[in-house]
Amino acid sequence: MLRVFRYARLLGVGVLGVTLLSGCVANNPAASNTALAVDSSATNCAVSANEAPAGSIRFSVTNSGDQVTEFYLLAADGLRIVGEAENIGPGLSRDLVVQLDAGSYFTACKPGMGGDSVGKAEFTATKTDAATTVNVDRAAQVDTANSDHASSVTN
Amino acid sequence: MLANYLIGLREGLEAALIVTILIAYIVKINRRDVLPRIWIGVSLAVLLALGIGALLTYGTYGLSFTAQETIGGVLSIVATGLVTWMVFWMLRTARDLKGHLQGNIDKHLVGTGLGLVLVAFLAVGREGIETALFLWAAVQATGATTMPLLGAALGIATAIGLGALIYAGMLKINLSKFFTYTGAILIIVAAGVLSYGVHDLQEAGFLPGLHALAFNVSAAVPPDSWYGTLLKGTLNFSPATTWLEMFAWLAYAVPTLSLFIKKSRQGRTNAHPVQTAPQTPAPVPVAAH
Repeated sequence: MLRVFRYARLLGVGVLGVTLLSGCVANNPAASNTALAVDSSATNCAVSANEAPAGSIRFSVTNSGDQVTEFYLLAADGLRIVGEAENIGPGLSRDLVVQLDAGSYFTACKPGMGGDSVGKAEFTATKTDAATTVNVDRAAQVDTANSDHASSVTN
Repeated sequence: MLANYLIGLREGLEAALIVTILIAYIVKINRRDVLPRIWIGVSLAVLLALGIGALLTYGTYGLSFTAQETIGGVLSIVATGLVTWMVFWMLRTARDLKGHLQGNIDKHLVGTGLGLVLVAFLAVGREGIETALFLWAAVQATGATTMPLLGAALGIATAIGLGALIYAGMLKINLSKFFTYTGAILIIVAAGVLSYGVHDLQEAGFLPGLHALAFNVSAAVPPDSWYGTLLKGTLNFSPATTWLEMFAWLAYAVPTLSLFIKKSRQGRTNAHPVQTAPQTPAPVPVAAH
């Protein structure tokens, strides 16, 4: 029985070790860590900002709808999943922490865990050393991007 | 409330099913003495998952998306291997039991001490971290509302209750029937776990084809409906299945089921007393174990 314990413990330590080595991201909001809030409702997926400095970004996703929801951060092609927070029950919130390179991304929610995603919007990670320039045409660009990519949001 | 309840139910069902079959089998072959091994595996998985979940929720470091999906995917594939091993181990011990070779059962069980712990550990721990993260999120929300935590707890309790009901039913049927049914069920469950693992690895970007869907019946079987939950929780049926998932499912289920049917028939004829020259069961290479 002792042997069994030792093996199982070894396995546990191994799993933990792999976990710690392979994919840890800092939870504490450091100077370079941007915290954004996402509100996932039945019909919308509102992110508190549509751009943030590249680096560690924390999306705190709150489910205000009455279905289980998922939050997706997609690459510029609108398909590849960069990050995903699953199993967010009604009334709950979950964090997705991602390390983003500068570039454009999409955010979307999927209440009900199936069918079309809702509230797909463009999200930009800006270069950290350059001064952040506010793009007045941002809204227009988002609209264009939304309609351009509307056909690919089926998953 | 209902949605959170269904999440708890879904996460608990598959583990409850596998552990129930394992326990019923051990009890049926009168080896209650190895039951503690199963409980050790279950407890270790629960504690480890809750611990890691708490660490990731409240600790200094969280888990990146890719790491979480990769761990989930790899654990699923390992779990498939272990459940397959369990099915063929049960087949072997059942055959020995029919031939009254009690000594052989003892021998197999000695060698499988660690195996039993691992099956129970992985059956529960596979989705444990994901479930623990969900539970801790519900705990964090208790300042505002206790309904999500209550719903999730009730869901997991229902899964365990269903397991107990199935257990009671299984004790009533005879060993050979029990064996044929549970073996086939376990292989289908394991195939589902494998295809789920493939899906995790596709999401992590390790495997291609995340958007190449073989079929999408989300409209007919909504993932958040109660029947969608039951299908997902027991068979890991995904209403939107990719080609690679379906291929993995078939590539595992078809040969494994064929081998299982062939071997269990072989066992039956061997145990038959009328047969004068029992064929010595050729050491069939076990494809997966």
